[in-house]
Parts: sequence; structure tokens; C-alpha cells
Amino acid sequence: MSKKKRNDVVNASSSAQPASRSAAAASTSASAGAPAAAAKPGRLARLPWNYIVTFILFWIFCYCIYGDVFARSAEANFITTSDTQMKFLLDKSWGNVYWFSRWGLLVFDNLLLGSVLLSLVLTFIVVLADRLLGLPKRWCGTSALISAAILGWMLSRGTNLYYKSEPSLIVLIPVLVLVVLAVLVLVKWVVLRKQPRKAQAPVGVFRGLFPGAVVAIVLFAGLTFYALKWNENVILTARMQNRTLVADWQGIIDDATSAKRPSRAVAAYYAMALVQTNQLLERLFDLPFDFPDLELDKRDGNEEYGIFLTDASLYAGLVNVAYRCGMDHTVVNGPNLYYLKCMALCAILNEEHELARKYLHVIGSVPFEQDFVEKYTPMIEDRELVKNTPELSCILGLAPLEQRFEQNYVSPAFLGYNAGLNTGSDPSLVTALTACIYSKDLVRCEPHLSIYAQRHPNNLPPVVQQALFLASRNSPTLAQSFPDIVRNQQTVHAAFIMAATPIVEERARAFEGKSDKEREEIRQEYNAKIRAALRDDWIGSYYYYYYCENNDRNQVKPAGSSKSAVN
Amino acid sequence: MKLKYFFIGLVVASALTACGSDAAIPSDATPTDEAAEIYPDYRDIYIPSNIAPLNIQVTSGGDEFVAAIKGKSSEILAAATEDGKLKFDSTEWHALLADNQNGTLEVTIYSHRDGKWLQHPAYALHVAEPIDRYLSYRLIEPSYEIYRQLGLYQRDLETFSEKPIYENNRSYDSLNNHCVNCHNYQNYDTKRMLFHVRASHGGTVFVDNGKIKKLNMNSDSILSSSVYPAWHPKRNWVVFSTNQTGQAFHISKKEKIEVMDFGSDLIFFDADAATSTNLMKTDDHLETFPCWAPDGKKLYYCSAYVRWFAGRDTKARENAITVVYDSIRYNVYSMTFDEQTRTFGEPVLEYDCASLGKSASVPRVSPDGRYLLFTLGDFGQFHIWHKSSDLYVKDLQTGEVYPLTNANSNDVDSYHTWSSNGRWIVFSSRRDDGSYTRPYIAYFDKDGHDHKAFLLPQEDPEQNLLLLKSYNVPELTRSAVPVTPEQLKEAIYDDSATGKITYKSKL
Repeated sequence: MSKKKRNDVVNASSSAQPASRSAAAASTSASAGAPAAAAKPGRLARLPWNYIVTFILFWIFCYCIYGDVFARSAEANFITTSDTQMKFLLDKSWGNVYWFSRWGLLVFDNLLLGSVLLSLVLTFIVVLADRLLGLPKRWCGTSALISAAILGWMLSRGTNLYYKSEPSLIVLIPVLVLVVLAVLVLVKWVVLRKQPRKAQAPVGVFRGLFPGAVVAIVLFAGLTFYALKWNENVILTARMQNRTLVADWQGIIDDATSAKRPSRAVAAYYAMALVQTNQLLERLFDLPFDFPDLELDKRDGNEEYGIFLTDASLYAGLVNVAYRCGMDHTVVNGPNLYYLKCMALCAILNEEHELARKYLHVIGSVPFEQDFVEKYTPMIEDRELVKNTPELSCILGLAPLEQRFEQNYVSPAFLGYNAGLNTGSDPSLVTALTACIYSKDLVRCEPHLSIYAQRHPNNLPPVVQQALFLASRNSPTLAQSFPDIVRNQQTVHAAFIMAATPIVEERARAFEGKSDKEREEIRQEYNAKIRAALRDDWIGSYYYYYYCENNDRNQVKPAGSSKSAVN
Repeated sequence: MKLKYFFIGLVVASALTACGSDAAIPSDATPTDEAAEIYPDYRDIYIPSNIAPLNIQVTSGGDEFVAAIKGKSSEILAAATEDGKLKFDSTEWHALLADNQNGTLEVTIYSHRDGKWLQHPAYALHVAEPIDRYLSYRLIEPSYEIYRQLGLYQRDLETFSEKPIYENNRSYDSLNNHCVNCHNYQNYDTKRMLFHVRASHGGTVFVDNGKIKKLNMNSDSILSSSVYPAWHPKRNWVVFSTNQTGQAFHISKKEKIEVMDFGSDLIFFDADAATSTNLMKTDDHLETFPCWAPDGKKLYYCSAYVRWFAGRDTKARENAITVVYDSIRYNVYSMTFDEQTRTFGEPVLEYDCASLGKSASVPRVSPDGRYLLFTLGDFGQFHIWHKSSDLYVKDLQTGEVYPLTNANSNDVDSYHTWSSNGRWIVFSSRRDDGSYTRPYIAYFDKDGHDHKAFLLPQEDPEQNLLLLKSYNVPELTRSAVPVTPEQLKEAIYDDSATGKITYKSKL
């Protein structure tokens, strides 16, 4: 550095704010051999605090806020060194690129490692973008907008970030942006390296955080708000699926009950967990059943249900149906670790030993999956191990006893089968009864209600008592068989009706003089109002569910409506 | 500087570790009674003299392996590290086979375990007649009703080369999504071939001496689309079945899928004139799986009588099929054919399966006209989903019917093709895992005896364990398909050029 430039630096330092002046004085006196203690503020000031804060915020987002989604994306990852196995990917446009990024996605097999690395990449994007733009030090970090945009894109994809989409994009896109920026910075350096650089004085620790880190904080807050407000179901669904893999049923129950407006997928996993913990009839209706519409990519017409059908079928005891759902997903989207694991479990449960071996062999060819293989391989030959594994034993207990076709039942099968069940095991009585009352088919429900009530005279769940009461209004047999229940529930039912009456009457007044179309719109509007009015006091009761929730008549397809063509 | 040496060292280390064990027979091996576990099971089989190397993977544990294949005057070796994959040099292999035609090779495996070499009991490979060079098949998942990436492929049986005949759209595209199936050739020759395209760009693709055309085979007078083809061995005529097919998924049975015809007829297609004529059209018989005798003077087919179907419309049959499906049994019939007058004789019952409580499918006559090969199951006709299905043969000279006991397995054995010399059968089997179909090859000697079947060899012996697709419809041909996938794609996608057949009420 020339003498003139050195003097310029000193002059610039001395004209800075008092805090910085002392730091500058400390730095010049340090260079003259002053005591080390006086140099500390200078060192601190020289740390890239904007970037440190940015990295920490990104990491909090990637690990704590959205980590479950990234971990679930890693579970969708299928990557091996075999050309044969990866042909499905390599044949596609950009397949070779995805092959590389899938190796990168493996870092998320350990969420902590993956979130740190992703945060580092996102932070380096900020660093490089700042360099490219030549931002002054105080403004360094404002390029966090780019990284935030990347995260924002991931948020906008919702469940499609990993579901029926290329899961490695969460790694590929940040890395690509990083590489592009690195190239641009390199080009800029090559072009500009001979030009004199403007020296920047270090700023103090606290002032160094403005405005760059403030931008990062604001962006972080915005992303977090978006994630928790609009992507709550995305996060919960991913978390529940991750928990399903480790049979953490209580965790799933806690997740579901925390949801403000759970989606079908959240409700389905909640129901699975209740089945596994023998609480289905006691707690199913603790959840509000007012499913939001999900925005999912249109692929094969089975978008929303496809998220949970495989697991729902499996944990309803319908192993063949679960296998089919897993195979369908594999066919349309290529091999996927999550569904391969499900298909392996189906083969084990079906005692298809060689098929189970094949799937475990395929899963074992993916890095870091040996734990799964080692856990389940012994179960192929030892049926007792299967029976002694609680979640698998529960599935076996629900296995169909009827030899029929899936098409004989209303779709989706895990509901239609249970709702249409005529013969089954004791555990399937609970699921059959629940399916009927969930479907509000109280006529079909009657025999199940009767048997269940007879078997549990002293501890009949309130929901069952309420369903029995509603069914008894059209069934003198039920009314005569269970007079105490009917009598007690008359009071409860009357209280519910009384609570609902004001708003129902208000709706009736709103209907007056309206056309059918207008009435339908009013009905939709008042459905929401009625739920809001009654929810706090009545959620968890069957009356609330029966009258106020899950009123979409078109959500269930009749039996035989899905025609099967042969390939 | 240090970095440079580091990289050099890395390259050298990689090269050293990449090298497998030296292929030499260990001199200090101890004989053991324990048979080496190998995959695939190539133990004591008959093999074509022109087949690609039978690479194997030893799965019985060890850190090094050597295999020695000894002929009458020469021997080849292969070595493997702990992955157990023994891969033979192609040139050496073919030379050994050429040198040992109609002879027997002795295979000995050595494994290194716990610091010492073991010599396992030897097994035999009997070298027999050659097989047709090319095997065509479709690769598709053992799926239900959805499909995505699939294709028709042609494998050179003398090497490991597999080339696509045609592959459908690689990425999902709602406008162009289509399936291909039922590839077929005239008399083991690829000069004439056909296959169907379903869904987008639907039709039947015909290749005739390099010319490709696509035809819409539908007609109001014909039951449904044309399905299973049988090309007359000499003339440009094809008998198709036309089938109304549905499928249902078992809620609990391991067989998972039931594919059922609720209507089927036979049609005669004149490919030169592009005309179709109903050959057998009944409402209470389900006629399907046509097959010509090698001299073209007889047509074999399967037919099931379903009394309840008489007078009932399509909807009624479709609704009833899931109830009656397991009582439908197909017999094998034949009809004589006069090439000059294009007339068929009366149906003759070749094998009464129904009276035995069985059901036949896919009759195929051997090239010498002596043997009728078919699949027999407990009911129905889509035997790839029936674990009871096995291969049977009827000696057309003596009338004797017997199972191919050595070739069959405890699982599905179905869809088969003869080699042009009548010595080999390639068929579809699910014996490996009960779900993924693999092509198996079995020797059928001149005395009408079958021999143990073996899996189509792959360069990487583990390939069949890792592949998540099934092999459908194996068909042997002497020559390679003469058109390229790009040419076929052009024809398939050019819907404006799709021709239309004309229906003729008489042949």
C-alpha cells in the first residue's frame, strides 16, 4: 500500500464515529506495539457479523422450522451407483444433473449436517452476491434476498417439494446459484483486479449488523411466518411421515392436535396413530375435520390422497392395497426410498420372503440405509419377530378375512373396506365402526354399534354413545336395546341443538327469498360460521362432527367407478 | 508440490484397489462337501452353444473367489473379490463353448474364507445346440393399471448387448403418454413385425421390410381392439384375438391381480389389404390366444365356454366377471386352414382342460410341428398372475400331455416361445421372488424331454436382483430389428398418417 493510501485510511478512520475512532486508534496503536487487550474490539469488528447472523438464521430455518420437510425429501431420495437402477432418472431431461444432486441430497440423511451445509451454501450465496454487487461493508448481507428467494421457492412448492417431484432440487438449486455467482465473481475479479479498490474502514460490532443483518432478520421472520401460517400442514405431514418410519405414534398425535386446520393427510396420520395406540374411538373427533384445499401439481389424478394412501392402507391392515399404492407411486415417479420401504414391509407382512429380500437388497444399495435393512432382514425368516413388533402386529390384527377385490369397496379402500366390512377380527370391529361413523353411514353402522356396545357396556366412548343415539332415531331395535344410553344422550343432544339453534335460525332467515344457487353459497358461508360458533364447546363430540364437519358429498367414489385397464 | 504427489498417490492406490484378484486356481484349496451358493442358479444345466457368458455371484461368504470352467482340452478362469461376482472373458468363453459342442463343461468354484481356500463340489454345464441370437421383450414394472416408462428391447443372446426397439416418452406428458405391447414377429424373422400402441398415438404398428405404418384396427363390427397376434408363417396374414379385458385387485391374496376377459373373439387380418374379418364371434365363448402351426395349415387357440354370458350385453358380463372369474376355464382347440381358399375347418378339441379343473393359455407349436406347448393354470387365462401356472406339452403325434417338470417351478411359469430349431424354450417365470418376471431358458431335447431352466445371463450377475422391472412376452428371432427407435417414434407420433382398416364380413 502507498503512503498516500495509508494516510487516507488513517484519515478516514479518524473521521469516523467515536466508537469506531477508538477502534481505529486501537488498531493503529496495535500496529505500533500497544498492549493486546486494546486490539479486541478491532478483531470483533472485523468479524463478518452480518454473515454470521445470516448463517445462524438460515440454519434455524433449515433445521428447526423446515427441517422435517428437508428430512422427508431425503427419504424420497433413491440414488445408487447402478446405471440399471438409475435408468429411470438418467433417461429424463436433466437426469444426469439430478443424479449428481441426489448424491448431494444424502447429506440430509443427517438433518443437522444437512441443515448446516445448506445454510452454509445459502450464506455463501449472500457473500458472493455482495461481492458481485460491490456492496459496502455495512450493507453486506442484504443479498440475503437471493437466498431467501430460494427458500421462498421451496416454501411455495409445499408438499410437492418432494412429493411426485425431483427431491434433490433443494440441494441443486442453491448449489447452482452458488456456482453461477462464483463464476461471476471470478469474472469480475479477473476484469477488475488491476483497478484500484476502495478501502473500507471496519465498523463496530453493533453498527456492523446494520442494515445487512436486519435484512436477514426481516427475511427470516417473513419466511418463518409464511412457513408456520401457510405451510403448517406441509410441515406436519412431513414430520408425521418421518415419525411413521420410527413408529412414533404419540408424536404424531401431538402434531395433529397442534394443527389449526389439519389437512386430510394430517387427519389420516392422526387416525393411524390412534389405531396403533388403541384410542381411535376415543379421540378421532378431537381434530377439526374441515379440510383445506391443497395446491398440488396435477400429475395422475391422485394428488392429495396419494400423499397418505399407502400408509393409511398399510396401517388399516390392507397390505395388498398399500403395496399397490407403493407400486403405483414407483411406476409413475420412479423408485422412491419411502415407498420401497413400505413395499418391503408389505412383502414381510405377506410372508413373501424372496420379494422382501429383493426390496431390502435394493434399499441396501442406497447409502446409509443399512440400519433399515439390518432391522427388517431377520423378520423375513422369523415370524415371531414380526408379531413382537407392535406396529406390525397391529397391522396383522387388522388383516382382511374376506376374500374379495379392492374394487368391491368404496374408494379409498382404507375407508371403504372398513365401512363395508361384514366379517372381521376384534380389532377390525373398531376400525369398521369408526369408518361407518366417520362416513356418517349410521344405517350400516347399526350392527357394529350394537356388537361394540354389548362388548363394552361399562366403558363405551362418548362418541359411540352419541352415534348410537343418532342411529337409534331410525332404529327402534337400537333404542330398545340401549335405553339408558339413548336417554342420557337425549339431554346431550338437546343441549347441542340448543347451542346451534340461534345460528341455524339466522341461516334460515338468510335463505328466505334466495335462489338455489344463492342458498348454496349461503350454506357454505354459514357452515364456517356454525363451526366457529360451536367448535370451542363441542369439538370432540360426534354431534359436532355429524352436523357440522366433513360435509363434502363428492369426496368418496362409489365402488367400481375406477375402471382397470391392463397394460 | 505436495498436492501433486497426493493426487498421483491417489490414482495409483485407486488402480491397485480396482484390480480384482488374479485369476489362478489356488494350489492349496481344501475340498469341501459344501456346495457354493451361486446366483443365478446355473448348476447342472443345458446351455446353448452361442450363449453369452454365464456370470455368477457367489453368495455363500468369503473374501475372494475363483471359478474354473474346464472343457475337454481347455479351461477358463475368473476371479472375484468379496463381492463374489465372477465374470468370464467373452472371447475365452465362446472359444470354450465352440470347442465343447455337445460336450460337458465342469465348473469348480473356490472360495477363500477364514484364511484358507476351499474347493466346492463341481457342477456341470452341458453344451447343446445354439439358440436364436435375439430375444425381444418388454420391460415394465409388475404394475396394476398405471404405466410410465416402458419399452420394447432386443437382447443379443451371444453378448450382453440390450438395445431399445422402442421406448415410450421418458418424462410424463399427458398429451403423449402411451403404452406399447404385444410385439410379434413372423416366423422368427424381424422383416415383418408388429406391436400395439395404447392411449395417446394409439394404433398397431406394422413393420414390413423396413416400411413402417400405423393402423387403427378398430371397427364397429369388431368386439374391441386387437390384442394377441399370430402371424401366418408364410403369408402376410395375422389372426388377432380381440378382447374386452378388465382387472381387479385382490384384497388379501398373494396373487394380487386378477385379469379377466369378459368378452373375446378372433379376427383375421389381411395385412396387405388392411382388412379385418371376424373369424370366431360368439357371446358365450371366449376365444383367444391364436397360434399358427408352422406349416400354416392349422390354427390353434384357446376357448372357454361361459353359459351365463349367452344373450347378455357387455355391461352385464363386465359386472358378473368378478363373481364367475374363477370358474372360467379355457380349453385348447384347433381348426384346419386352407391357404388357397382362406377357409377354416370346424374346431377340434385338442385338450379338455376344463374337465380336469384346469385352464390353458398361450398355445405354441414347436417348429417341427410335433409339440404343442401351453401354460396350464387353475382357471382363467392371464396366468402371469397365477402361481399355479406351469408349462405343459402335448405330443401331437401321440396325444400325450405332460408337464415340463424340470423346467417348471413352484411359482408362475408362463408365456413362452420356441427357438427356431425347436430345441429351446424361453418363458416368463416369477420363481425368483414371486413378483418380478424374468426370462428363463430351458432345453427341450429331440426326445421331447425338458431340462432345468436357467435365468437369462447378465454381465453383472446382480442385475436381476436390482432391476425393478419385469420382462414381458419373450420372443426369439434370428435377426435384429431392422428399424431404429427414432423411425418407429416418427411413425407412432404421426397420427395424421394412421391408416384405417376396412371390415369385411367374409374372408
